[in-house]
Amino acid sequence: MQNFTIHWLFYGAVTLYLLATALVFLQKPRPSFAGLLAGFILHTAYMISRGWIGGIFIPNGITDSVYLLPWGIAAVLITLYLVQKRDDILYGLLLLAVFALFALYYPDGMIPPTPRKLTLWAQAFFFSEIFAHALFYCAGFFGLLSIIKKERREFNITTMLVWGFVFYSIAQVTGAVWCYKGWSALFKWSPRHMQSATIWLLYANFVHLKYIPGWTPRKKAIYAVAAALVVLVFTMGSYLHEMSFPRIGG
Amino acid sequence: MKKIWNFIADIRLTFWLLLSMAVTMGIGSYHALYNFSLFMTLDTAQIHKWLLTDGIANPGATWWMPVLFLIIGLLVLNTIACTVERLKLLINRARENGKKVRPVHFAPSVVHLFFILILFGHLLSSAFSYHQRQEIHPGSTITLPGGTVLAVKDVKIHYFPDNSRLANRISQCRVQLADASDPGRQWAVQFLKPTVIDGIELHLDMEKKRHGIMADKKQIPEAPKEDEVCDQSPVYHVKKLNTRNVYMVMRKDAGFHLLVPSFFVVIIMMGWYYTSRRSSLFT
Repeated sequence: MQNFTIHWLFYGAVTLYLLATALVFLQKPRPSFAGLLAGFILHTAYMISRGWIGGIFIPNGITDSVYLLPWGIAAVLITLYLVQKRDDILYGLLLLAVFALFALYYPDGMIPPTPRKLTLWAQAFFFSEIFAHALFYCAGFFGLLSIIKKERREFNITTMLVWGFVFYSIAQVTGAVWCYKGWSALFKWSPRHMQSATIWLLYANFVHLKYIPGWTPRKKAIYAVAAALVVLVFTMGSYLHEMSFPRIGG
Repeated sequence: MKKIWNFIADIRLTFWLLLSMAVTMGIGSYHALYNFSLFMTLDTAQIHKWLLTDGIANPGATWWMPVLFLIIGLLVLNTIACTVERLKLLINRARENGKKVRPVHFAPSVVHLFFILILFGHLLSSAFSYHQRQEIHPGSTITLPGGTVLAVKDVKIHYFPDNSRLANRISQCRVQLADASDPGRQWAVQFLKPTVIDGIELHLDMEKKRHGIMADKKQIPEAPKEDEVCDQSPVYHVKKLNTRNVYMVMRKDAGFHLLVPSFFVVIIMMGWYYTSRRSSLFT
């Protein structure tokens, strides 16, 4: 019964996200934003409830990347909409809908944490990494929009990517400390670590672009899209791999 | 000479070096994925020795590593040159225009210098670290590189509460150690709580459980005889009853004290620089 209650919060949130996405394409931005906000509130309640998915409070359930990523994207979209006061920000709901639907398809439960995962360093790592990913995906998505649609003012994808890079750098540091405490090494020659390094290098490269002549907003948008695709390929690989792991509370 | 310097200090070179480093790392990550056991040995070996043995023996899987190191070397040179140029520019601007250069303008240069230290720290970690792993159980002994002998007094495995869905799963393991020649000197090592003895860090490690096999200490099937089993996973499952193999990892990381402070300096400097530019997140 408890599982039923917890997971239905997420189903409700996804329904609201999909409704909000439909409304934005029907040119109803305010009701769409209200739907996004309501979905985000439900989603937040769900993420907090996931802490108890093991029958006792363990934050690892909250930081399950597949469920936290759409939450991060929703948080970014809400902040963008409130600060920039631009209705076209809500087109980002399409991106949110895709990741929310993927999470819906994903196993509900939590991978039982090993002792090495029971640390706040792990939670700090996942939170900063997910916020970085959310910003990378949003920048990639708005970059794609600015390539496709021409008669609009530019989205400031550079600022999104700069802050995504800062969050990602924090993730690299918290992840390294966690790895050292848990696995006695700051860096391992594993696919996960090397792919993280690859992503960091790609965005480190992006923050240098403003000093290079000839990098127009359009070229930067293309770079942002390409880099977001790299993030997608690398992270989806591990998400799909983890689908076969035993879970509890699903 | 000036031409060479300008080429090395060119930010366009930075772009190509960072991009090629990212591509090389990305390619390497797939080699690491499909040759997992090979690359796992690199985590505990000294990299130069590993490259001369396992690296040369598996050129198809490791060819990208020398390429990566070459790019890193060039990137270090490029970073130094760019940082020197930027510092010269800041100092000249202050001298010529009499303008005060705000301290925050030096933050990117500090980040770049510490980035070089981080790369150097990784080099030290990879090339000069000491790593040893040994299975332990109550009554066994561990000899540290300095000669100190430690006796394992107790290995206590803790489980999640029985009333939770995680019941029967390991939540922590505590190993009690004592100096064999002076039993009064005692230490405890737990997961995520390593201890330092005679300059050597002691970390706990435990045999990995295979996926799909539940570690239920109460519902273990009867053990088949080992010689009857071809697939090792059932044996593995049974063997891990209440006594999953526990290991002690002895490590001395040559780059640790350089890397960790550098990481934090870089984060603080980045945060300082970007917040002071008022490039607020979404404006």
